[in-house]
Amino acid sequence: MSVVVAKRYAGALFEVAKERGTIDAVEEQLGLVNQIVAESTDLKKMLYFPGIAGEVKKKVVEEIFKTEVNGEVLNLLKILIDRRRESILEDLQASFVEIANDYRGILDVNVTTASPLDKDEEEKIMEAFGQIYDKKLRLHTKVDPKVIGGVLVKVGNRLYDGTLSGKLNRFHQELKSGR
Amino acid sequence: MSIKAEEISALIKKQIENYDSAVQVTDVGTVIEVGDGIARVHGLDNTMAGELVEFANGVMGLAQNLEENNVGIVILGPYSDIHEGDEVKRTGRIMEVPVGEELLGRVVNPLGQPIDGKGPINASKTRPIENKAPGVMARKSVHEPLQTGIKAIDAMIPIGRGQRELIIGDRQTGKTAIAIDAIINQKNEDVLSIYVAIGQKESTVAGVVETLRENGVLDKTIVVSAGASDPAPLLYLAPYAGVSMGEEFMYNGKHVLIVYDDLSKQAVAYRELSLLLRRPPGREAFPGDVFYLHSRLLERAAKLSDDLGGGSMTALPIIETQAGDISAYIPTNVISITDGQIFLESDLFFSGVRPAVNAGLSVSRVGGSAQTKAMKKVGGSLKLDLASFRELEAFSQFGSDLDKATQAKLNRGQRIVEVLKQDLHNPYPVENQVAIIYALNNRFLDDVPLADVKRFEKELLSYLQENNKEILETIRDKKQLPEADVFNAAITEFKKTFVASN
Repeated sequence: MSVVVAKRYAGALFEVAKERGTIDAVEEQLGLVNQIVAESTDLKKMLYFPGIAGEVKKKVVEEIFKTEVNGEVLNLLKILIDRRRESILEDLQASFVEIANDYRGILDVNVTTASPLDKDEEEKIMEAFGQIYDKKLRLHTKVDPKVIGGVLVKVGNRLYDGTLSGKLNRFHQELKSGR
Repeated sequence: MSIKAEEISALIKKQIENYDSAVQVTDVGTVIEVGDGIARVHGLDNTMAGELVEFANGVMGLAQNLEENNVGIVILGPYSDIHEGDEVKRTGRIMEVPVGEELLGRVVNPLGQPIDGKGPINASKTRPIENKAPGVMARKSVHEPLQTGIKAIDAMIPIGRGQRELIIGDRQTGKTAIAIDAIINQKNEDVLSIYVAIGQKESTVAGVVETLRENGVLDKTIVVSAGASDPAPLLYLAPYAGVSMGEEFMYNGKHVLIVYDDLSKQAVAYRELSLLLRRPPGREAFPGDVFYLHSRLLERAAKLSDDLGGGSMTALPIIETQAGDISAYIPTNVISITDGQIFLESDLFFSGVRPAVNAGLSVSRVGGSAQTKAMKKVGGSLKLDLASFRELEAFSQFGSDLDKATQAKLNRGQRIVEVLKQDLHNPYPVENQVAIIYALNNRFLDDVPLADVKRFEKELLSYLQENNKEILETIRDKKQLPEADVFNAAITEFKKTFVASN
C-alpha cells in the first residue's frame, strides 16, 4: 500500500524539483533526511508516534533540517506530517530516485565484491554494463567478504551473479537434487 | 535406497569437470510479506502468470497474482524458513510434471515426486500442467464403450471413452467404490488409469492403493495424491498434474481413465488460496473463476480424432454433496460441465441397494452410442421400467388392494432392483451383464423368489460358462445378441435344474 502512496508523493516532488532545477540536490537531501531519521531512534519514534501533535513534529523537523535542506524537501516533510504519512519516507526516496533516474537517463549499478575495487576494475565494469544498457551508469560499490571472490552486480531487479559463493551455492543444490 | 561412496565421487567428479564459470543472470525480488502459504514479493519484473519461482531456501513457488508493485506467490512446500527480505528468483519455467510409462504403478505427489518409498522415478519426459484442451477438429464423437463392470451403470448410464461422467452423492454413498471398481474392471482392457486423490486421509489412499494391488491393476495405474495434510496449493494442483500425465498417454494413442476424488475438496482448496491472495469472493465465498477451474480441467478429457492417433481420456470427477443438495454452487457447475452424472443416494445405500444409483436422476448424455449392440438391446427398456416401478412403489404403499397388472409390475421392479445389486470390487464382464439382464427382460426371473435372485444369477452365469460358452462368446466378441431361440433354450434348460430355496 505505502509503495503506491509513496509513488504519488515522489511524482509530485519530482515535478517541483524539475521546475526549479534542483533534482540532484533534492535527491541528495532526501537521502540525508532518511539517513538522519534512521540513525536517530528518538527522532524516528517521535515522527512515527501518532499521539504527538503535528504542530510539534513540524517545529522539531524545521529546527533540525532548516539549514540542511531546500524549501521543497522541508515543505514535503511538513505535508507528510499534516497528512500523517510520515512512514512512507523511505519508499518515497526510492521512488523519487527511480523517477529521477528515468528522467536523467541514469542507471544505478550496485556492485558487491569481497575486497574494494580499484579504479581500473571499476572502469571495466562500467564499460561492460554500459554496452548492455546504453545509459549513464552510476556505480555504488559495497564490500562484503561473504561473496568470497568475483563480483555480484545488481541492476534494478536483475542480478548478475559471478561470485564464488553463488557458484558454490549452485553446486551445492545441483549435488543435492542430482544425488 | 543406498548409494555407493564411489558413485558419489564419480558424480561429483563429472560435475566438477563440466563445471562452467559462467555468470548466472536472474531476475530477483524480495519477500515483503509471508504467511499462510502465500508470499508477497516486491520486484520480480517480467514474471509470467503461473511461472515457477525459487525461494532462498530452495522451496518453489507459483506466481499467481501479478500486481502493480508486488507479485502474489503460492508456496509449494514448507514455508517456515522463508523470511521477510529473502531473495526470490525467477526460473523462467512454467510448472511441469514428469510423465510417461515410468509412473505406472507408482504413487506420486502433485509435483510428480514419488511418495511410495520405491525410489526415484526416471521419467525422461515432462509436460506443463496447464495445457490447452484439444479443439474441435482434434476431436471425434465418443463411440466406444468404457466398461465399468457395474451392471447398473453399463446398462442404464453407459460411459464412453472420452466422456466426462460425474459421480455425485453424499458422504458414505459409495462414490469412491464405483470409481475404484471401474479402474479394477480395466484389468484386461487396453485402458490405463489415473487416480487423483485430493485432500483425502493418507490411510484412505493407502487402502485404495492396496485394493488396486490386490486386484492386480496397480501396474496399470498412477496414483496422484495430495493428502489432507498437504498445503492448499498442492490440492489445487493435483488434478492438473494427473490430467497432464494422462494427456501424455492420450496423445500417444492410448486410452486413459482418470478419476478425480474429489473436486469439491479441490474447489475448497482453491477458495482458500484465492481468499489468501485477496481475490474478491463470490457465491459461497468461491472466487469468480471457480467455474473455469473445473471447466478447463474437464475439457482436457477427450476422444481424439484418428489423425491424432484416436486416443481417449475418460474423466470420472467425483463431487460430494451436503444432504443431497445438488443445487449448491460447485455441484451445479460440474453437472453443467460434464456429459452426465451418476447420482448416488444414501436412502438407497442404507436400504441395501448397492451401488446406490438413483436411476431417475442419473443420466449419460452420450447414451446408447457408447454401448455395444447387445447391451443396447437388453438395456434399452431397463431405465424406464425401473422409473415406473419407483413411481408405483411409492403409490402402492398407501393401498393394499392391488390389481394383477400392478402387482406384476411391482414384482418385476423388485427383481430389476435385485439384479442391479452388485458386490464391492466384483466387476462383471459385459457378456455376463447382458446374459442376466436378458434373462430378466424375458421374464425368466419373474417366478424366482426374491431371496433367490442373487443365487439364480450366479448359477446361471456359471451354467452358461460350462454348457453354452458360445452364447457368451458371441456377446463378447461379435457384440451381438445370439439367436433368441438358442438363448432362451439355454436359460430354460438351466431353470429346470434350479431349485428355489425354502
